[in-house]
Amino acid sequence: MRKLFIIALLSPFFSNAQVLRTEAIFPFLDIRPVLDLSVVPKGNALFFEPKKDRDFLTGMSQKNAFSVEIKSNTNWQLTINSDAETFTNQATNMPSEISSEVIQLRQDKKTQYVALNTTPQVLATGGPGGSKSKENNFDLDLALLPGDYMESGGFQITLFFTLSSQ
Amino acid sequence: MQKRGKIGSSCIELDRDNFVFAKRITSTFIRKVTLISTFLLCSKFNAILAQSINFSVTPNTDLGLVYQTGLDFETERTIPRAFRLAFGAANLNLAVNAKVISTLNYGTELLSSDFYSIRLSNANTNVNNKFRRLYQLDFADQTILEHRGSNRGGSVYYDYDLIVAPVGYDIEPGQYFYSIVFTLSPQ
Repeated sequence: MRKLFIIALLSPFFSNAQVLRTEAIFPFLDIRPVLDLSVVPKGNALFFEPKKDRDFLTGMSQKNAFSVEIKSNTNWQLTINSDAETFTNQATNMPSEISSEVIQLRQDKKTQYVALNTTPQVLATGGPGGSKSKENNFDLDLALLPGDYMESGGFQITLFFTLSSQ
Repeated sequence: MQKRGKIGSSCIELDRDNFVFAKRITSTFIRKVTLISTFLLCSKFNAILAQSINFSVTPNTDLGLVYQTGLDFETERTIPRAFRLAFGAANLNLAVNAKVISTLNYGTELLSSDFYSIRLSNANTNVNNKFRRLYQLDFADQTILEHRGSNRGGSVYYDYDLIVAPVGYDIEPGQYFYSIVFTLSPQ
């Protein structure tokens, strides 16, 4: 009984584990969808000057013509399309007869070349990740397949890369 | 008379036994009452101790962060002097413990708890240097401050920065709500 009495008497002074007050704050994170695309051409890779018969018949290619970096927190797909169905003659600034489909692109050797068209063509797909993830950091190969007929002169076409969530 | 005397004598003996018995009962009763009273007094003392602490945690600004650019996702973000711990004048030494709880989640996945850290930014009293370091918060309580109480002067406050580690791109878009809970315990 005496022991109990002493314990009862001293209990308030040995109450370090006791919680006296509790307060709180309420932070939050609002994470929006992000799709960040960087396509950088390497050197003079976008300039083709076919001269030999072989250049016309078998085509020309530029390995690793573009460096692509993607930052996304959703599944994504990268498409390519042109602004016109044919190249523009640089001298006259008029449409030529050279089809946009002579330009082809691919992600790497494992995938097939995709012909350039006004309709977006899927080049690559991937998942969430920053540009340091292997899936979101890659190069594109560029090929020119002019065929046996091509006008002479300088011609240009604009490529559009579009990143969208899936 | 003899019979009456015997009866009287017997009655007297019985009264003595009762007296001793009653005395024992009274003594035990008094002890029990004293013990219960002491418990009640101690409880009351604790309640008074708890009620006398003037403590508050107040946000100084909006504690929400929006993530929408690459920089937002990849860099550590700080809300300077995000909140204030304040104590009224009281002669009590108190430990402040902090932990984080994921409360509401409008994404489909639960975020981990280790995004938030706090660091003492400013105070109107002396603070031991060991409590000026960065504290990465977790589900478990940790002591972030020891408040030395005093009856002299006005209230004492501590302003804290709220720091959020880079969230990266692997977290699904959504709104993620947390509670950072502060508890006081006597020292």
